[in-house]
Amino acid sequence: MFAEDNSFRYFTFREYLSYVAAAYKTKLPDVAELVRGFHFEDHTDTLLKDLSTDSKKKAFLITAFALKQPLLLLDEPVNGLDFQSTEYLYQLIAGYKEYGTVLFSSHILESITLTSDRVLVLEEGQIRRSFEGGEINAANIREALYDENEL
Amino acid sequence: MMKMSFEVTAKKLFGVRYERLTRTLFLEPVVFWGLHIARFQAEIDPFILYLMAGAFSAGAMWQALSASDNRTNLENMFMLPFDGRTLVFSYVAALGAYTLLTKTAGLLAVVWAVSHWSWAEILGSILCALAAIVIVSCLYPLRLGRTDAYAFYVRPASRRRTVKSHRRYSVWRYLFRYLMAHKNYLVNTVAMWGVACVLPVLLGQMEARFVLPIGFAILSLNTPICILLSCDPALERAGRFLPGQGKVFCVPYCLFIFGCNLAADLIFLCSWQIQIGGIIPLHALTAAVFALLSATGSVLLEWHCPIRGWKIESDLWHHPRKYVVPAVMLLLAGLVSML
Repeated sequence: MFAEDNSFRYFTFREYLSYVAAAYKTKLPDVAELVRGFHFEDHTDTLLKDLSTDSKKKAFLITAFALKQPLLLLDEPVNGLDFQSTEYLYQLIAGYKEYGTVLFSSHILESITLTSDRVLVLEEGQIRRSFEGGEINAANIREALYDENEL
Repeated sequence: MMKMSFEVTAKKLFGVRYERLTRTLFLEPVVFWGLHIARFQAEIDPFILYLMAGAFSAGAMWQALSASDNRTNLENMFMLPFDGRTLVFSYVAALGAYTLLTKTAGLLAVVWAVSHWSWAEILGSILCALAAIVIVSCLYPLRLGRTDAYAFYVRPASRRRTVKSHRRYSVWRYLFRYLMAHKNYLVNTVAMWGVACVLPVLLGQMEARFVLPIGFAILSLNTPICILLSCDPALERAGRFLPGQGKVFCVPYCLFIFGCNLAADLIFLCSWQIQIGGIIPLHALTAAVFALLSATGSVLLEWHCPIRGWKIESDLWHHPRKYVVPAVMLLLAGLVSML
């Protein structure tokens, strides 16, 4: 899932979901719970081009989580989401372990510390630091980022 | 202030260092000398030259003013304090320079190369082009009944909140909605069908088996529907990331273009039959083959060689790549005619 995505603008969410499910050769998933969790009930039959940035992001997130693929790549998934949806997204990321791995990029420290089992700090395309388990906290990550800025 | 406003739009159209303008101004003399040396000759009346320069410039300028790609630039300029007259003059000047130097100049380079002109006629064609650009710039804001800078702002189409509910996708439905949402694509497709009606008048003097394939090749030049992925980079990116798009998306897309091309070819055949007669089922079969081959070629080009780095929609519509498939179809038409 890309940070900014304007693809398939002339599909509704339901049509887009069935399209992506067909592309991955999976059965059309039941997304009722995800739609409720993101408060997306009123937008399932709206063309994607007519959705706000927030709603469009939710449409792509629901589709991504519904397919339960072994590896889920999310680029800045928190950007543009309202508070309740952000909290729901944290729950989804934390609970995705039973289906596979979520690899996401973010500049929101809270989204990393509340959900991640492993954190990689990148600088100029290289992995400079990594944290796991108990090391993942705001202070350690801030220090790592501060050290990078100093360099 | 005017210089800054001009540069905001000009740099978007020509590149940050005006590299696209430099490239175009280099290519146009090359085209001129190439045609001149090759001694292609055509008899063109000066009135036709002036009409071509004026009409083409007017159309290109209207297209440039209507391009939704300029919306973001204008929104940003409106956010800052601005003088209406300065903004209008600089915006129109930038688009006018773009139209004249990158569109009209190309046409004039071709026309000047294939016929003999006096300096007065050359100057006349340039003045006609300039006059058309100025007239269109004056008429464009009047369609909204206002004459300030906001008249040049292309508002997004009003949102329709919901559509008829479908649980399953249909690429055909997607492409149909796409066509309906882009009226200029629809107009272009219908215009090709209009050309199909008129072609027998132009080609009717020659024997059907020689010119029908040429007609089918000409009618494959339906640019807008053949550049769907190029004009929607987000769709192209998503298509490349999702698995199996060759079958799921490209095949229906190919059949969609095939349908549009076949409709034009059948209209051409019907028009030929009405005006001249002598159409046999083999001609319809040939039309279907040409329509399918041109559709396949267009989709393959879109998938393997999409047009990237374009600035406004007009650049896509006038990209040289659009002639590749019709050129191949014309070669094929020549081969078929010889059989």
